[in-house]
Amino acid sequence: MSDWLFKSWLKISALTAILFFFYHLFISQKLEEEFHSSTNDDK
Amino acid sequence: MEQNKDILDIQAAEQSSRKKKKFILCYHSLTVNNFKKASVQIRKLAEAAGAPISIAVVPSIGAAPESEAEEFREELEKFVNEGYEIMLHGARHRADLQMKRSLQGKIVLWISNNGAEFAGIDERFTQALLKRSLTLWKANGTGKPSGFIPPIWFGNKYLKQQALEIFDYYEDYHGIYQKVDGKVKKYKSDTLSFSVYPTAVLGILQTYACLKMLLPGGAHRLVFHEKDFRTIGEKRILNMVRYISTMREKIMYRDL
Repeated sequence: MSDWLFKSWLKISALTAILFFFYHLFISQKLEEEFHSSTNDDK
Repeated sequence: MEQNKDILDIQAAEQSSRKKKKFILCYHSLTVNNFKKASVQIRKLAEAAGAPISIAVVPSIGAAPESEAEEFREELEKFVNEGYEIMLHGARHRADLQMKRSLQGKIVLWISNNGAEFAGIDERFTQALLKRSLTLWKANGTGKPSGFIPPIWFGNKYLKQQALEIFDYYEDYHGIYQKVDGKVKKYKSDTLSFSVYPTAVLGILQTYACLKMLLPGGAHRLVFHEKDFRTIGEKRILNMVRYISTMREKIMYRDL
C-alpha cells in the first residue's frame, strides 16, 4: 500500500514538474513579447 | 448576421466566465521620496490593466522639502480624482525603535530591516500608530482610504480589529478582511509579490503568479513595488498584467 502511494506520489510530482516547466517556457515567451497598442495608424 | 450573433454569444459567455475570477492589482509603497517615478509606473500599470488600480500609500512626509511635499499632495489628489483606490500603508513604513516590542516583533523587525512598524507593539501603541497614520493621511491626502495594509503585511494581534473599526478593509499576507454585521469576514486572497525575493527566483515566481491566476479560486493580489521595475523589468511586468487581465477581471478592494 505504502509502496503504491509512494510511486503514485512520484508520478504526480514528475508530471506536475513537467507541466510547470512547459508553462514556464510559455510564460517566459509571453512576457517577452513586444506589445503593440492599436492606434489609428494600424488601420 | 446569424454568425455574428453566435460570436457575440460566445464572447458574452467568455466574459461572464472570466468575471467569476477576479484579482486585485496594487502598487505598494508610494511615498514622498519615490512619487515622481512611482506615479509614472502606476499609470503604466493602470493602462496595461485597462482601469485605475489600488495604491498603498505611505502618508508620512518626513523631512522632505515643502515643495516636494506639495507636489506629493497634488499627485495624491490627482490619483483620487482619477478613480484610483487608496489604501493606507502604515505611517512611515519604518519602525520606531524606541517602542517596546515583543520578542517576535523584534525578530520580524530584524528580518524586515525595520520595515514592519506594527510588529510586536502593544494595544495602546497600535492604536496610537494607527491614528497617526490616519492623521498623516488627512494632512496630506484627500478622501478616505478604503483600507489598511500593514507594512510587510505584518501586524500584531490587535491591529486587525482596530483597523477594521476605522477602515472598510484590512489585509495580511493570507487574506483580506472586512467587518460585516459586527463579524470579521475573510476573503480568500493570496499575495503575489516579488520585491523580497532574490533575482534568481523571480522568473519562477512570475510563472507561479500567472499559473495561480489561471487556476480558479480566490481574489488574489498582484503586488508591485518600485524595485520590481528594476529587477523584473517594465516590459515583463506590463505583459504579466495584460496576460492576467485576459484571465481574470481586475477589481479593487471596494468591489469585493
